[in-house]
Amino acid sequence: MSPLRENLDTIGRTLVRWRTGLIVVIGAAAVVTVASLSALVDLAAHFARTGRVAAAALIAAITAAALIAAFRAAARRFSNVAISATLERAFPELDNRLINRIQFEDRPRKDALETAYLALPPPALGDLDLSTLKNKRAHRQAWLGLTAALLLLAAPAFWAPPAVWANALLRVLNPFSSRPPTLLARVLEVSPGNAVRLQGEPVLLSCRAEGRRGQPVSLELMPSDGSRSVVKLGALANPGAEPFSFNLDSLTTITRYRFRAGDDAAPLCLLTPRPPLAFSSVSAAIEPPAYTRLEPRTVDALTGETPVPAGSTVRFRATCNFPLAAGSVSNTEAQAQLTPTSDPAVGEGSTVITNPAGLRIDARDTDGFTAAAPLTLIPLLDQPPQIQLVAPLAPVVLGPGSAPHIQWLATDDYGLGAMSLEQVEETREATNRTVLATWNPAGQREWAGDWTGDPPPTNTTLTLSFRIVATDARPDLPQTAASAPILFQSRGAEAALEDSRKTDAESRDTLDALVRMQAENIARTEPLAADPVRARPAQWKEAAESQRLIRQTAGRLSADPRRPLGALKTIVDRLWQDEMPKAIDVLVRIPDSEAQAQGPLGRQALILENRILEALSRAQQGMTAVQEHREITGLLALLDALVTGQKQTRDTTKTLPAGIAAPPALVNRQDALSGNTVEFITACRREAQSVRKGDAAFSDLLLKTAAQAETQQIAADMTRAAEALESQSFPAALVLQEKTLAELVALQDQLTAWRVQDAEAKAEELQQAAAEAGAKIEKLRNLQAKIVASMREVDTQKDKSDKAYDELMEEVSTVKTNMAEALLNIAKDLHIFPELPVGNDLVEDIFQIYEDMTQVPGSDKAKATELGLQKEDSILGLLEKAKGRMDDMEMWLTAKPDAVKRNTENFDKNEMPKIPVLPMPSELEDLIGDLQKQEEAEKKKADDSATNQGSADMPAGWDVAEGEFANFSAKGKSGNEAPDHNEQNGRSLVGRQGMANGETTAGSGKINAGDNNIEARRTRDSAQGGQVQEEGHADAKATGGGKSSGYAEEAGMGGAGPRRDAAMEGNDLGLQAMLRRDAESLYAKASLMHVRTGALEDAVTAMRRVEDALATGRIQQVREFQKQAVAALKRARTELSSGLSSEALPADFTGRPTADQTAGVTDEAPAEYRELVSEYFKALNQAP
Amino acid sequence: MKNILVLLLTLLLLPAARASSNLLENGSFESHGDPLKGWKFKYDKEGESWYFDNYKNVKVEPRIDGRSGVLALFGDQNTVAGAGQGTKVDSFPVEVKPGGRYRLSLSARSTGPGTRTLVEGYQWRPGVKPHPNPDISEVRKCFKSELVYFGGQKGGTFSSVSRAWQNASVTFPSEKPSPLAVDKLSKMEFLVVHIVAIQGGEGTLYIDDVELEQVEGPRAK
Repeated sequence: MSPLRENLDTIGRTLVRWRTGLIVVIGAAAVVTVASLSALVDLAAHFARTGRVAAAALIAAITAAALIAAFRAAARRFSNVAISATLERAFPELDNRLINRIQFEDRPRKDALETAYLALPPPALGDLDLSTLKNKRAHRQAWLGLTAALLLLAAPAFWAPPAVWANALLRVLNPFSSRPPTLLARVLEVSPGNAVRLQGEPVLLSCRAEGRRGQPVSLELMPSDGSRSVVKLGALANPGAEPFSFNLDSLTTITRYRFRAGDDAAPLCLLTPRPPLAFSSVSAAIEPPAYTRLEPRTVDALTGETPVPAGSTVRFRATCNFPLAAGSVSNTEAQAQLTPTSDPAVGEGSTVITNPAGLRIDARDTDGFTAAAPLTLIPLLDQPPQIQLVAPLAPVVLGPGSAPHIQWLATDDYGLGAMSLEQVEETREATNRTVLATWNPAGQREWAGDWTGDPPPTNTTLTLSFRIVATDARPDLPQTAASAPILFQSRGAEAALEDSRKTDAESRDTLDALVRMQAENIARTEPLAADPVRARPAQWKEAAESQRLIRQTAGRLSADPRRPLGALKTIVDRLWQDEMPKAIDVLVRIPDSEAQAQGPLGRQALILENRILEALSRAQQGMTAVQEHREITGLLALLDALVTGQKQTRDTTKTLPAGIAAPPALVNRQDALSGNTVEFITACRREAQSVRKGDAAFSDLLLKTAAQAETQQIAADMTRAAEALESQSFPAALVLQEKTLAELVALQDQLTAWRVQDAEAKAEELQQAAAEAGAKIEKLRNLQAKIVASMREVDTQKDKSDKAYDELMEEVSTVKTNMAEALLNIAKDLHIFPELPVGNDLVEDIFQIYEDMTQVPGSDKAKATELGLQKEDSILGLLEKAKGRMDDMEMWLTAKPDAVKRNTENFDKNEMPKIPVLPMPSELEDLIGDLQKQEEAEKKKADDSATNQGSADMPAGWDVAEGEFANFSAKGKSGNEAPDHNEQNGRSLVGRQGMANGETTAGSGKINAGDNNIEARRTRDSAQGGQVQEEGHADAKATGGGKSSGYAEEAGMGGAGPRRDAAMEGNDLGLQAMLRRDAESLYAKASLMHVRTGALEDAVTAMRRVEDALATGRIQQVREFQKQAVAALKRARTELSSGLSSEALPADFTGRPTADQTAGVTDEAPAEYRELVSEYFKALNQAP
Repeated sequence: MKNILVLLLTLLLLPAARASSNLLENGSFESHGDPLKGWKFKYDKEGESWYFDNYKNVKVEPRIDGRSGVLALFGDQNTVAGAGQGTKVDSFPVEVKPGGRYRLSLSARSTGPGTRTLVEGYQWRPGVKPHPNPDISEVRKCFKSELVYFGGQKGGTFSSVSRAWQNASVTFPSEKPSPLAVDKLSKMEFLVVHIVAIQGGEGTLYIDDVELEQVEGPRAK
């Protein structure tokens, strides 16, 4: 190799070294730079593993690329030609001599020129400055870059601890090491983290952080419905952990949050708001103890008050608005744990409740929220049995041969377990009770007892005391109740009759005193009524007090259990109940009344007082006959008792076996019959004298009977029979008994024949009197028919401005006066309505609102009740005064069908003022719903009477329902009920089909379903101007005059309609009347026949009261009077079967005033309040 | 990672779900600055004279019974008992399309009054040109839903409200409305939640978390 070529090779190697060095320097700078930057990022952002791997991979890639480039550069070899070209380019002065020489040398065949050229000396390379070939600028920049990279690498060490920087570098260079990042601060703990909180609740967000002093701590808030915000919480001040917190005032939406401390950030947390835990429902399935036999029931335990029998097993079921974790129902005595069911929002649990008072439910949901509520269950105590004596109600004197007879009714709320009757004997040392009879009511809730004992020994004064004991069927703690002592006294017949006479004398005195007092009070009232202006209030008060005293005395006399008034009791009862309280009421009201009203009221009081006097006088006159009647009845009853007693002793004697001693009781009884026969003979003679003046034939009959009894030696035979029984000579005794019985029966037949004859004669008299009364009533009825026809004739006049109208009105006025005198009532309905001023004011803009109403469960079967409404003068005042149209308030449809029958006292239409015509608004609102369900029978019962009580305007509000007032402001709505089946007055929209007598103000509307039973009748309305646009045609009947454009497919009535009397057949009133007539008939027959009637009279009275209550709508009194009637009938049966007992011979005067006995009868309350007062007294009487 | 995905999904879906559920603007009475936003409680128009003082009895309790933002309707004896007019609020009309079914739910407790809480359907009043934000005076009532009953008895003209918080709801109209109801429902363009404290005794009716949701039918824009 030539020196030239050696030089060129040397130059080539130098170039390779320079290039390789440059690549190494650039590569190193890149690696250091990337590593430093990655470490810086890690220091600031703390690479996760991914970031670290990515950074390390980048560094490794750059390093690898640099090394590959360096190796490739180092391995490269340049040819001599390439080096020559590089030199030629760098040194132009070589003038291509170098490259030419190298190329010529490399040619295998050289021409002459090339050979000559090669012969020349080669260019001197040693003089060349070869450093020119080096890219100094690139080398310098590479080194500068490397220097900068190294500075970047070293710089962080000046502001961060070298260990921190080295840790960052190492984390980047070795991404797979577990080396943690180095932080300047650190969030240690965050509260509450991810949490659910109550909507609107404040939430305290807090954290604990540590780190370098001065590092800031902040909170990022990101509500879902708002923008992100950062709250600076402060800076770290101490080396240790420090707390930081922020109060979020109200959590209303889902909110994310994150705490930051220095370069550390806690994980993002989520706050979720939710409503509080609440109960949708809490039901209690109550299973009462078996002995109560009550049906299990499920009730709402949060509202209302539900009674729970003690010992019931109650299963609670709570439904919440969130899934439940746990719950309980508890009070101081019981606890039931609620466990979630398949529906997590429902918890169930059960327990046995002895006392539900104070029960409360507690629940906790799965988020830890709680809810609590008191339950409304109340205890239902098991009451002890109740014993109600049916008979006797007062101590009873037993007549000769009579046995004690007791009837009672025992009741228990759940069932009776045992029943017994005890005889009570009081001694100085102790009270001895002997059980005479026991019964097993077998768990019945009501048990009627009936017991008859043996007759006590006669002619001795003896008091027997009994009591009824009842025990209920409660298994664990049976409760016992005992009746008050039931007393019977045994007295001789003559003594008893003497008592009766004494009573009669007292009663007569009392009745005389009543007549005298009433006459005096009339004398006291008359001057006051004649000149009420001068009358002082004290005088009226005195009259009222006297009247009150009269009533009290009459009440006591009427309620005397000895029934001294007999059949006259009905008269006094009626006075006590009707005229007497009315008279007191009127007298009391007079001093407080306006001056002009005092005169009419005084006259009214006088009328009432005279009626009372007249009735009392009638009773006074009838008293003698009543007493005679009763004495005769008592005498005949004594004979009946003798016959019955003798039959019984004979029958008992027949059963006695020979050779044994007769029972002493039998002997005594036979002996007592003898004594009673003597008393009967004595009584016959005394009675004969007593009735001789009035009925000589009967007097003779009695004398004949007494003589016959003596002649036949009936009493002596009875004594001999007793002696034969005592000496065990039963056949002899039996012969005597048969003889005396036959003789007594003969006497009885003799007197019975007279009874029948007497009854027939009296019945004939009564029939004649009834026929005369019927004829009088018929006359009155005909008069009434004529008057009503006249009224209708007037009312059908279309043109009321006709002069003839006034004339007719005068005539009618006279007719009306006559009608009042004839004590007739004018027809109601159409005749009560005032003249309606026609407005002809039509409202075109009527809009209808449909209301979806849920009817109260069971209300379709609710029984109809009645309500009496008396007229008040204030109504007329308000009717007249209406000035402007009043606004309405909250309105809705009713959820219960109308079950109230309103009976209104109507104004005389002449009293009524002119009704103002209020201007109609530009629009009217109608409210309608689907018709409610109601049983047809109850619906009919609840139809109101027609009314003319009304108002010109009203602040419409609350339920849309038909009430007791007509209204003239057209505020009525269609509602969700058919109109009552009666005439409707006033103004209204179109609404529903019904019997209307007023005016519509609707310019349009649809006739909806309503009363389908429009009566054929004619109203007094004349046709009015205006047109009503019907929305869709309804098949409704025409009623009233209507607008002049109206039409209907069925014509209204063209003439006077038929009478519409109340249907008696089949209704309650009719049935009650029939029952009462039967009882009255029985009573009358028995009375006429001188058969003892016992309490039958009370039964008739009670039945009559039932009838009155039904007729006048006092429904709540009906049941009580019916109970009284049933009790009286039972008592009558007991009395009739117990010989000569309580009817004529009560032991003492224990009667209470009627007011105490009859809760249904009221004292001095106005008619419409009597029901309430009755309920009050009833409650008082039932109080323990 | 899995948790993050769940979180992201929840965050994405929740706002959408909320937007589609309660049709009322401020059923929780927690609107900042105006807790009665979206509710009418002042009645001063012609024909509303009974309710001129209504606003004096309506307020929002910021905090009571652990709840925040609770509507309180007070009524004295004259207002709620007898024939009192009651104390009431009405929500602003919410536009709906005919043919939908809706559910109203709310929580309540009371220290005296009962309530009539229901939804009323409205249509445009004649002569008013339809626009996006009607005032209640520009629409006219045509339908009233069944009541929300808080007590055990699901019927009647009132609902008694217990002293403890209770949650109750009503869905309307019924699945088989009567022909009369169908006629009125076909005209219904707006819904108004109507809450009245009425009947019972003197005291306060508390209401919270009122939600009106559509459960069936075409939705409005």
